[in-house]
Amino acid sequence: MAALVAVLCVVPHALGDEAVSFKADVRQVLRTHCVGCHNPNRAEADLDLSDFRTVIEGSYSGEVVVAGKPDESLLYLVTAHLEEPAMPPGGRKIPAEDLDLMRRWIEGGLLEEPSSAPGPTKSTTKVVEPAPEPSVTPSPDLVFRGVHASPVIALDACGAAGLVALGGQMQVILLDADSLTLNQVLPYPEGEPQSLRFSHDGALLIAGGGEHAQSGGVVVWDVATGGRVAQSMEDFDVALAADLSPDGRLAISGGPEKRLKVLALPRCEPLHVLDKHTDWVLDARFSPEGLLLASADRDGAVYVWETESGKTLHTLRGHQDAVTGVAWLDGGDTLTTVSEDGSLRQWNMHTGKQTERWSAHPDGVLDLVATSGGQLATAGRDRRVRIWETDGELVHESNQFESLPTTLACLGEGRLVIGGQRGEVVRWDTEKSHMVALVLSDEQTTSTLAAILPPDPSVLAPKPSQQPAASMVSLAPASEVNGLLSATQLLETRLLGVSQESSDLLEETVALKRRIRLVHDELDELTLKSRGDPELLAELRQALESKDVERSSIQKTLEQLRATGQSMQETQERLAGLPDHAQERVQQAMLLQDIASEKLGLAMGQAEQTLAECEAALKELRGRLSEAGGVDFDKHRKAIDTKQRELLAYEEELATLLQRTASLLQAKDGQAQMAP
Amino acid sequence: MAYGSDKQRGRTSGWLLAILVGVVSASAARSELVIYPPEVSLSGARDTQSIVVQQVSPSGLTRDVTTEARLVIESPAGVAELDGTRIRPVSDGAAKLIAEFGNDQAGVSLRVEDATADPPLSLRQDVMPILMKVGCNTGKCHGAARGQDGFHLSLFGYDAAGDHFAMTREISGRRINLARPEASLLLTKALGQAPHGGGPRFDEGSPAHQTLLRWVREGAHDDPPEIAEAVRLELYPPEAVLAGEGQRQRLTARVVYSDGSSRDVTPWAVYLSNNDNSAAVDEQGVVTSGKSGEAFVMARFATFTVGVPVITLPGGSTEPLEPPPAWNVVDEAVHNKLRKLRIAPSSVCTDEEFLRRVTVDLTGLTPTAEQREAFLSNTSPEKRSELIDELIQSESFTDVWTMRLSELLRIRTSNQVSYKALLGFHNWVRRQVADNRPLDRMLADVLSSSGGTFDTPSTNYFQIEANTQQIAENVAQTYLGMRIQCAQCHNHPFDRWTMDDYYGFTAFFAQVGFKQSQDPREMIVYDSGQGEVRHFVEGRGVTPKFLGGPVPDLSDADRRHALADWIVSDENPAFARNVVNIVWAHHFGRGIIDPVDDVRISNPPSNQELLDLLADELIDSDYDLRALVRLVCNSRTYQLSTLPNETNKHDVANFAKASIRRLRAEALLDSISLVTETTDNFPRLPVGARASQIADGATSNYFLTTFGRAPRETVCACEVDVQPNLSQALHLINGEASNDKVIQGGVIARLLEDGSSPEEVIDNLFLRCFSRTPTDVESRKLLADIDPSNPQERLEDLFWALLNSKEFVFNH
Repeated sequence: MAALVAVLCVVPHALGDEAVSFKADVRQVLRTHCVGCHNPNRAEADLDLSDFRTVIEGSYSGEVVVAGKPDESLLYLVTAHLEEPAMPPGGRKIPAEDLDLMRRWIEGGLLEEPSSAPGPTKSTTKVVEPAPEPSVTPSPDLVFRGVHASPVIALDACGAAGLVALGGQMQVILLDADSLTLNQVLPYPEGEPQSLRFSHDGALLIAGGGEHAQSGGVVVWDVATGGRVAQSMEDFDVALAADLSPDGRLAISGGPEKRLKVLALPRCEPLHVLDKHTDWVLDARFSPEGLLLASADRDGAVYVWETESGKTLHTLRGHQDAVTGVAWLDGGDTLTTVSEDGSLRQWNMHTGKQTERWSAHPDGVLDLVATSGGQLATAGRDRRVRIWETDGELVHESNQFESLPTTLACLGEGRLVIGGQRGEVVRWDTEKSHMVALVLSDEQTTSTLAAILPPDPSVLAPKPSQQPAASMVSLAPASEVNGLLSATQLLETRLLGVSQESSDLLEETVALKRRIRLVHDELDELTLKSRGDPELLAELRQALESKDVERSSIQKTLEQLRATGQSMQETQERLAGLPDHAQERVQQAMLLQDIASEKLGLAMGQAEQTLAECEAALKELRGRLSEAGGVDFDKHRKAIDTKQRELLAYEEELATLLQRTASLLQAKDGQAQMAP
Repeated sequence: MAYGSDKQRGRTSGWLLAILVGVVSASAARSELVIYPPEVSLSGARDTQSIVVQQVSPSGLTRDVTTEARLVIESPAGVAELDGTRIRPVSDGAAKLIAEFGNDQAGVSLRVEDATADPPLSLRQDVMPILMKVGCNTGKCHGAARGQDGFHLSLFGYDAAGDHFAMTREISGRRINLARPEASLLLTKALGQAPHGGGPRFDEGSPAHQTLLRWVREGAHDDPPEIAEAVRLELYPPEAVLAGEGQRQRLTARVVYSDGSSRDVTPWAVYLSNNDNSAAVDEQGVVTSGKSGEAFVMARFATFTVGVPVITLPGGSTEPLEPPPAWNVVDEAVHNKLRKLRIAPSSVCTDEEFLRRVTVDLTGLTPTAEQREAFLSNTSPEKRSELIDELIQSESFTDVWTMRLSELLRIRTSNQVSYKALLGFHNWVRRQVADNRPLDRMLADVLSSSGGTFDTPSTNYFQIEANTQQIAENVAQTYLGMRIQCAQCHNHPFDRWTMDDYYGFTAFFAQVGFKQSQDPREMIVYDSGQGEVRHFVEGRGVTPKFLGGPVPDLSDADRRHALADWIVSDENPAFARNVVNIVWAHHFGRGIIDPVDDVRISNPPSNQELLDLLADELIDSDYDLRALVRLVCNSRTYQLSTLPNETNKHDVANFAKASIRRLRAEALLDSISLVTETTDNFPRLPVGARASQIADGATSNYFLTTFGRAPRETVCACEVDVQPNLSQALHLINGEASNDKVIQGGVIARLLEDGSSPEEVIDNLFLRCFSRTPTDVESRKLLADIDPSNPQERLEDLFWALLNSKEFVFNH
């Protein structure tokens, strides 16, 4: 780390007599200790210490630096723990030499650059970055050898150039695509690349990366010379997503800062800063023609932007978890996305609507690439890589890796490169029986993968043998030759037959496997359904609740009626007790009371009936509610059982088939040995 | 040694203490030196042991002399070496560690195995403790439900495998960098090299840093499945009694693993004190005394929390005060504790005070003038005891305890529970109390009951609450006083309960079946013999396991019977302790463990000896409620005055004086009705019934609700609210309970009609309300204000004022 920092800040100017300046000295001090909390994204106390201009502007309590007066500069006072709040928080002071730099910078008049004239504390508005120079020369040897292999995070391949680019620690490693041997090493003192992309022609390579939670940005190389053509490391965390536009004029970069920057090369001037993402940007890609760009974040959101205007074209919402990869299809008409939610989705770029969706790796998808043959390759947490037709048909499936396949790249028709959690790089020629791996921790040893990754039978289908092993036969005596020849011919035919049979069997096996997968899917769907129709249940529940409310209100009415009845009776009793002279009045009142109580009785009867009805309805609703959960389940359970039985039968059949294949192969081997 | 000793040990230590005290007072005392831990066993090159040497003076004061004592490792030489107060292994073998201080000497055995072995670090044994110690996985940091900025760790590390995933594979290469270990975000953030919302958590080169870095260097592997689990945590010394402020006492913590190995985890345990004022503890486990008082200092490691009591005495105090003679065993236990604290109990209360206090506590009513007369005129020396016996046999006593038990069992009507079923349950409980049925059998019956809610009323317990998890939580809280809710989603942060314990206990109620009876209001509870509970994190079915006990053999018992038998058995000390604590709290306004339904390691009893003693007495009396109440009320401790003395004025937890308690809602209303000679009319009860007789928790009135009657919606002991508030005061001033009842009852009018003079009426009112005659000053002042020709209104005002007085509303 210390070495890295030394490389990054190049020369410690301040040690000599030279004036201390922001660019040369203080920026690095602030970056190391302060900008984590005082940056454009998270300006604590409204203070942004990432840039000369914003440092001079100060915080909500005004200026934080006063030229020539460290004792009046809040920045210095709090950092030196001379004033509250002591910074950084947590009670620890920054190293004395850094503090000294800060003081000398303030004393020296707040220079922006070593050549600036001391004077006004207001910003020099024009911020011109010097054009990047290829400060780091490419090297033929590894810059760094790790303690252990770390996961392959950044990976790309270019079929045209025959190269695989691979992110290492403080280096980008270019491998020869065929031999998987070291071709070139591009030093990357910035840290660790998180994303690598070749331009379409393979002439340029971009790396997004940096040091986690400290610094980040993009670097662009000319692949042929290994020289840097552009670089911008202005961020405070690694760039997780980076891409080059097809014409090589633009670059994009995004990461934990939740922004996507569109940069004009080679000076890396920000053309647009797109800040709609609410979480880390995990992947971004230009469309094949470069008119659009798509970016995806950890919250499950995908945005499609117009490259020139920076306007949002589509907001694609659907994924339930982090979107880990985006890929373009159909020349940019369709966007494909994959997510930790396990699904792969396709979106129509004319309408912005989701057009396809299937479960690619139920535990989560880690990466996605569109192959040059127009197929899709996905890597998932189930430790498999799958290749799909764009309609969802599974074309190839790898066996389970021992560790997670973390990243994918396409090397051309039928050739895929897979990067793994344990640092392994695997080339998978999907149509051939060829899988090669390079384990980086093992320095450069190339070995066949057979031991690490058992090849899938569909990938390694044995081809019918075309070469009769007969060259040795001519040495035998002539008399035996004819007999031997005919025997050999017989064997040959039989071998051919067996081979044919075994490849038929294999085809059958593959078909059966597909069928099994299909049944699995159906089963999943049924299981989902059998949990009951949630809408119906919700409806019933609501009905139940409202009935319950109705019932209690009726009950209340009934109680009120009863109370009225009670008070009427009391009145009647009182009336009866009144003296005679009120007789007439009393009789009249009694009559009225009688009528009233008759009405009351009627009303109470009605209310009681309504109550009874209500209760009956409630009961029925309860019944239906329990049925809605239960009956459906029973119905589906039968279907599930059937499907499960079907599955079992298929699996048994598969086992027999595999057994037959094995015995056939054995027989074939036996016969082949007999042949000479 | 953990403080939560079992019953047996509690009893023994009580005896020991008694003997010790006897010895001390009898013979010339000398101090004693003790080394902790009681034996040192080191295994592997990394294993070290910090030791503590404590001097115990004859008066019970302790002093940490670890650095002052002369420490020697005796022959054979070269087995281990001393590094300050820490022992490091050198070569395999056994030796002895000797400490000398003044004239005292102590020694412990020392054993070293595999002195040169340095195996790779373990996630669970080495890394997880650091995440907890430095605070990564606390509730406000990455242990929060959503973690921090996407990085979520299990709360206090209950899911090591999940945390390993989060660190290594959730975002490959970011949090752990295997190629450049020191660039791992896990380290750069915690060191403060990268900006970290939680600030720096440890220093470069610190043991925490070195351990994490080494683990990453070794490949950041998860543990093999057979890794030994921590099974026990030990904390030493078992007790400290410090005199004056600023005294220090080191602690040493040791964890024992399932493979029998042990390890010093003093630097990795998390320390907390429940009373920083009296004894603060720093993160290295050093206790510093403060103001006089007592504290419980705890260490937390893995899923364990253990604690030791630390008492801080005023500076300069040496000899304990000799307490007054004990009246019964309860006083002995209380005085033993008070002696340690140098607290003297208050004097004994007057007969009048005692009469009112015991009558209110035992019957829920204030004593009448007649009762007072009878009691005061009794000349028997045993008259207090006789009064207690008389009250215990009264109907009102049965009412009070039926009410208390109904609260615990949550007897209340609801949509599911009809009044008929409820009344059956209530009457069943009342019959049990009236017959003085042993409490263990009664409560076990409830747990294991099956049948119709009308025929077998105790089955209502399962209709009142039918949710499996909720039942289990209720049973734990009601029967054992333990709150296990936390462990539903994560291991209990302040207790020993893990999710395994929670779901193991819940599983006992997984097979409660319900079916409808002919009467739609009746439900039949039975054991369906099927149904399992699933573990929240791991999703597996969990087999029933007693809370803090073994996995039972359920081959020929249904689950609830097995549980009920275990809960009330001697194997489970928690039940008897819980019952006595509830009874104790009823009479003192505060439990020995307080609140009574929050028993946990981090909330220890204020007097373990007392709790154990009462539990033993309860078991010996065959769970006789009345015998227990008799024992408690006959103690000098119950009969203390509320007036404090110089030594006990700040103490609240050790029962050195009587506490002043507001009457609970039912007792207050019943007492108002009693003294005003009025009646109340509660729904579904005959006119004149008492509030304490209401069967249904859902029945209430404004007065009862205002004064905090338990609605019995939860099992929480906090439902009975005796906190005073403004609406209570306003209701007594303006509400129908005081003014209307004074008028309705017509007491004043009747007394005047009978020819009483205003003076006599005043005396009568004081006797009614306060069980005492007015003082001369009171009489004189009151009389001065009364017009003898028309005294009624003024006297009624006085009656109202008495009902509003604190002396009436409080039991004292």
